[in-house]
Amino acid sequence: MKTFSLENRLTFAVVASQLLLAVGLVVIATAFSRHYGRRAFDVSLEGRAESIAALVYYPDDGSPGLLFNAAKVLPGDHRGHGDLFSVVSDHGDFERHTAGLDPKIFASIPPDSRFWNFHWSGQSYRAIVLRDVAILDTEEGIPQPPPKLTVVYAASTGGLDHAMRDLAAIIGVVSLAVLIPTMVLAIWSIRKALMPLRDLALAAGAISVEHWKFEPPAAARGTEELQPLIGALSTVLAGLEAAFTRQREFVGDAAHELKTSLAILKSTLQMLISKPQEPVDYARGLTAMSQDCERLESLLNRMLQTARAEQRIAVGHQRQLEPVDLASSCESAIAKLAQCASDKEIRIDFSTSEEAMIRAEIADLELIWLNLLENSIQYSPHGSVVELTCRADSGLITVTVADHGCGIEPAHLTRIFERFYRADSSRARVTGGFGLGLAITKSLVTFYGGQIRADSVPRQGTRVSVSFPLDRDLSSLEGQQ
Amino acid sequence: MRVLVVEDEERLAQNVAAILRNNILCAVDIAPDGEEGLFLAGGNPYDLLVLDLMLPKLNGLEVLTRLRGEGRSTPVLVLTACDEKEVVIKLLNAGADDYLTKPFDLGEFVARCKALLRRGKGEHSPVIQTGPLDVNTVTRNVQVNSRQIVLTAMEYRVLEYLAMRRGALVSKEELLEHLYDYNWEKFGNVIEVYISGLRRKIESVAGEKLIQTVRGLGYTLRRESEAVASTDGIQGVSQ
Repeated sequence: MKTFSLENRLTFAVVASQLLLAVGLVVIATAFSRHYGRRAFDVSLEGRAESIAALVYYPDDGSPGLLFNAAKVLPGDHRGHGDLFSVVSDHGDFERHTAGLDPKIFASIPPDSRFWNFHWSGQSYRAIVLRDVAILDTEEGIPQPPPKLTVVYAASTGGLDHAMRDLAAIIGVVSLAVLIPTMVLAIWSIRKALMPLRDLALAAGAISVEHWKFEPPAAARGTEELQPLIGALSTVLAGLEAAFTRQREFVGDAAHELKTSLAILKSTLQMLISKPQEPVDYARGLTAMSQDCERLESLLNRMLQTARAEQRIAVGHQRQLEPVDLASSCESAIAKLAQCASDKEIRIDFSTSEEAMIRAEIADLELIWLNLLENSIQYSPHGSVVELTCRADSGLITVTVADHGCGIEPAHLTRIFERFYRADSSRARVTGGFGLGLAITKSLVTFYGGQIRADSVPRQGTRVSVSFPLDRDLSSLEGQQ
Repeated sequence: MRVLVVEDEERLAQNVAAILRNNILCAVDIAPDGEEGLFLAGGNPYDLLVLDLMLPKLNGLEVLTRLRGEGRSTPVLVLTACDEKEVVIKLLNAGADDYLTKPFDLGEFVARCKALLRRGKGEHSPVIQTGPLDVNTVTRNVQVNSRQIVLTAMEYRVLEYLAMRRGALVSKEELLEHLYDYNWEKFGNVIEVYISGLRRKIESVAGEKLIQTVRGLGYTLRRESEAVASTDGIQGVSQ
């Protein structure tokens, strides 16, 4: 994917909008002044046309016809391009115009228009036409009705256009002159504003599997818009680091357990082959190795169960599970442990208040109760009772395993669900535990949306409770049946 | 020689102990966790400590650090499942003398243990010479004037210990402490029996007295011609 620079984009946007603003300003200012310039020009044209009409007078001696005081015609504004005029009486006996002007060019003026633009001798002209203008002068014996005048007055618009061009140029130059420092200012402030983002990106870039520490720079912490990002990053990183550390610990612990088991096997084997032995010693060694292999196998199974349970939590539910009866899963777990319990003369009391269904794999539920019951049996004295109760209450279905064993010290109680954690090492070793059973149990319970908690009073007993949320659909289904 | 094995995996501890007893002919004590290991190592004069790293109650590194902090110079061989460089560096810097990763090779384990036992006594050569007497600590061959001497396992262990501390005065208690496990006090007068057996087998071939008795104090392995140094030997013990 092609990358782009946020800074460049922002700078481009700011510069482009500033340029657009400057162009707009020039266009609007030019159009505005052009409009008013035109109006002023027209007003002055009208004034001049009327002043031309005022120069027409009757002769003092009462003779017919009209006279024109050409000497008083106002000089034009534009050197070289003199104003043009033509004044005509409707009696047809009077016509005056600028010297050298062919009055025929005014003949094409549309009869009802007041202003008219035309070109003459390479110049742009604007003309005003005043029709039916009364002659200001009065004398005795003027013909009745008195003659009316038609005045056409034209002036070159070259000066006006020139002024407009100058104005546009001045506004343009000034805009550009202002644009350059504002652009520099904009680029500088964009850079400065983006600095926290850049620093944050650098800080985030420094994070690696070896280096989890994320220290958002002070400038980034002080930026309101970056707060959610920093918060999210910190949370995700903390979670990742914890998960990573847990994973590494698991791999380390697993390696330790596996290598230790292998070391036992290897040392037994090497002891046997290091020198010739009596047949009875070979038999003893082989039996020991066979036990070691079984131990290794059960360790591997436990580790695979752990990994699978955790993998499933990570992946989530993949298919719709059939509802299974909780009580019957408890009963089958008890049946599997009957021999183990009777070896220690331990009685497992099972009581259930009502039928409860939950959606789960029956094998997983069985494994949960097996692990919990196994633990209870291990830590219970000969001839004691382990109680397994199943109760539905306020939307929760709770299964409790309680024993009257040695109990767990409070310091260990919080850690018993950790993988490879053994509260009492010597005991667990003797009973063949790896410290994985409760970890698997917890993973499975979590997978099915349940909760697990342990309470214990040292030397009196331990009580582990597993609660699952009661599925409403399932309980209503049950009611119908 | 007497070795302490600190290992929480009972089967492995038993195997290690058996290997040590059979191949190095030493007494072995076993501690199942770090706390007991530290307690035993602090209260007994072990010649070697075989220490697991992952231990309940007190981990191996902590045991090692505390032991060295108490000024104990017992050689320590660490057994670890982890052979990451950082862990190894940390171990050696904490005062371990050597390490071996699980699963280890029996021969290598025995050789490293023997090397550590030798070095712990200031010996570098596997063959310890005292005048006409050669004690090979690797093959457990004992020769006097190049003639093979056949010893019982216990006689060899007494001789090996005296040879490693040659020239120094070794009390009967020291011998007992280093030759037997924590039950050593039960063994009372057996030392005299082994010493007389050794004298009979060695000195008849050597034609001179090599195991000197310092009455009421103990024994020294040295030639009689070096007798002048005997007082030094006594001081050597107290040093």
